[in-house]
Amino acid sequence: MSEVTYYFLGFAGIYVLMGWALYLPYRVGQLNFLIVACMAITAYFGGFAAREWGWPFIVILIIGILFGATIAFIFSLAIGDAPCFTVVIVGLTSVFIVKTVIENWRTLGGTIGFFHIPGPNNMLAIIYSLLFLVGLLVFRIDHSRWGRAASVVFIDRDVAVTLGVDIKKLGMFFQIISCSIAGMAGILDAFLVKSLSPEFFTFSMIGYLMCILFVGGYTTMWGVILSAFFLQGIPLMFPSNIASWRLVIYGALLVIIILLRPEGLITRKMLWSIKIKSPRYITN
Amino acid sequence: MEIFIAQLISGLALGSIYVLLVTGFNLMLLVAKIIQFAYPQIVVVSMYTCWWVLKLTGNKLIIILAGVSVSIILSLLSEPIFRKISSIEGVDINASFIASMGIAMIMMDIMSHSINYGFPVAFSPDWVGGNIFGYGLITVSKGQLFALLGGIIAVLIFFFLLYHTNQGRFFRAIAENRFAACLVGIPIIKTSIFSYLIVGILGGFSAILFSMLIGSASPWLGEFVALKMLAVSIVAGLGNLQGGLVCGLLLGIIEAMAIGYFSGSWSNVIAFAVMLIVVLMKPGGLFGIKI
Amino acid sequence: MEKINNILEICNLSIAYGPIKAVKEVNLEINHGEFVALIGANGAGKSSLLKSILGINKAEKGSIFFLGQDITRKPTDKIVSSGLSLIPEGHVIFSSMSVLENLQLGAYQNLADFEENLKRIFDYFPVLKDRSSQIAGTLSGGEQQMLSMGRALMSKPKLILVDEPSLGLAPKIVTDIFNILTELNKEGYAILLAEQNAKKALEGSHRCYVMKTGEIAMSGFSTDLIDDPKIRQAYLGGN
Repeated sequence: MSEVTYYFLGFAGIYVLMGWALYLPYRVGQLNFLIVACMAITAYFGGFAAREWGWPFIVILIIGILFGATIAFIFSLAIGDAPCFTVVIVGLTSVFIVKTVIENWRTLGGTIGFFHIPGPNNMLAIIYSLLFLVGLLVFRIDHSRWGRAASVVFIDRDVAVTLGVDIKKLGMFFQIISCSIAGMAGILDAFLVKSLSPEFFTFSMIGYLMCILFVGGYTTMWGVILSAFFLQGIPLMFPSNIASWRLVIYGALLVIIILLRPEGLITRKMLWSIKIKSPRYITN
Repeated sequence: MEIFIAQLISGLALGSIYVLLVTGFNLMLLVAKIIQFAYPQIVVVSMYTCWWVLKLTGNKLIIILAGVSVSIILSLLSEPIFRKISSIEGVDINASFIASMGIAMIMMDIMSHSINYGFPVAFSPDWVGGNIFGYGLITVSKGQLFALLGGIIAVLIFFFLLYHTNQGRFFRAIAENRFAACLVGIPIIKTSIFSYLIVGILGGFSAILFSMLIGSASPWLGEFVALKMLAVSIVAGLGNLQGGLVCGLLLGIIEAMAIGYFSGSWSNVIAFAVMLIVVLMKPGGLFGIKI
Repeated sequence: MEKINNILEICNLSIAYGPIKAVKEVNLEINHGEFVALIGANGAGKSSLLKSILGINKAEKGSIFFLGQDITRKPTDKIVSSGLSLIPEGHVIFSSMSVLENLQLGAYQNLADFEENLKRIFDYFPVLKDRSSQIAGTLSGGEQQMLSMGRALMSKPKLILVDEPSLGLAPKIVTDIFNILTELNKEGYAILLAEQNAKKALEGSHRCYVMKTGEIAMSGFSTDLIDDPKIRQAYLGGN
């Protein structure tokens, strides 16, 4: 396998994970950018623990997931039922705080970056088996009573309250799952690239994740898979002088998709029309 | 004490720029019912325009006109996009946020590719100006004075327009009850376009004052400012114009104090951390959401 | 020039919300100076019809003529300025603005004789004069309804559409409001009143249309309809 394909597949897998991490809280109408902060923290933690302390991958992975869950739990106590833009600003400020701390922390390499992370050589098998597991989890959540409650909250919070949905608990649940996935993605990222740079975790990354979620379609979990591979492939499809304008391409895609197909490429209606109906027997 | 006063002055100057930005942002939110996340990028493009015109001519009036008109044009250009988005059935305000994020990404990338090889641009000292007042550590630069006075005047004019003219009353009517505004025969689209014009003018002035105050601009400035603008408007309460005034000034002061008492690169962290804590304690904003 | 008898004419109007048809093929006519009532149960399509006359709901089929001009596809502000005004159901006011500002906004399309109009409104609703500097949201329900009416009258309309003025108000205030409507009609305003309170509506109006699931089920002079056994059965509570 060529190096280009290896990294393409690896990144696409990680971005599918991050896409799902953004997708789940958006089920209750929250754009949770805290996932980018979680990803940055666990990536640096993973890299540091592997290089300096020589911890094994599996331990680091578990700590990463737990770390994401803990952070999300603490934050969600305050913003579990907050309006969308409050969650947005909590996420954005956290990302910039984390980024600035990393940039100024000499042990972590500062603005130069953090290199030579030891670890498993072929990450693809690990990434894709975890992707499969997380996919199962997301599918299961989507088709549970939590998922259905989330759909009601997305459309009308007041109706959800009258139906007896605990919006705060639901929001907390989704934020915790989402940040755990992001924590996992951070660890995977550190071990895939073997080096880290604070420049990676910025506004462009948030824009990219938004693009993955909204171009693919925010109403189902499948859209994320489609757009993560598609968008990751854009720089490969074009010559490098066009590919360097990828932010313009992503931005334009976002605007165009909102104008022409506001629910994204893959919508629920579309799934119904090709008869992948949600299985009725999965309740609870 | 001298540090405190010096930082208070620079904080107020910085804060008045934030106030201008937040006011424009809130006007968009109230009248056009959109989250204009790309607004600070428009301001930065307008700053770049000023920088470019400044290289061609020394005539300040032409520079100001160029900056303001670019901001107005960009603001008006975005109007049809947002109007189309708002008219789609089943689409809420999040859609405008996503689209404006896309627009912001496009503008940022174009600036970082095409202008000055992507490096930050610096305005000539002639434009920025030196200190006009000095007493020990307390100094007031020309940029600070202009930012403070310009900001106060612009905000006063804006609030006069909003509360004492017919057009302002229409703005408030649409903000408060779109249906009733429709009933009394206020042309919604025309008034909304007018609000984009006002926001364009405000953006142009913010660009000029901002460039005088900080003397430089970079493609990444927009995202920083966008973050601060959104944070201020949420800390104050979305759509709360008066709250935006208070919180904008407060953010400026907090940032300046952090610069004064801590090392430079941490000042943004402190400002963001303060806002983060406030948002976590009061997710609905300090002064209440008005939308 | 041909003399146009009717002030408003609706031909074969249909309105749909997605797949649901709210109004089906409705024909309706109002003459100058007439007080016409539109009665029907909740959800019969009365409000949809009134809103579509003002261009807030877009008509799917059919056309609406006001003073002989086709206003079916015109924007709401143009329709309001041509002399139509809607008093919506459920006190739709600008609640954080003062009473006076509410009335000023009502005069958006008719700023010319503002003072004179304002005096006229204060004559109809003396309570608004006393409270003109008060914030509208602090008014009582009846006062808010009066403010809503006053605001609609500020544009000097030729035809007033009234949607459920009795909704959620005490019986005495409802009587007051109907008296004011009758008085307005005597002064020459044409009125189209959509109302669930069929008794009140029939007593006050000249003619009446009965709406049922989006269609006009019956129409005629109010004095005739009030004695119609079917109407009595369905809308006036038995015998």
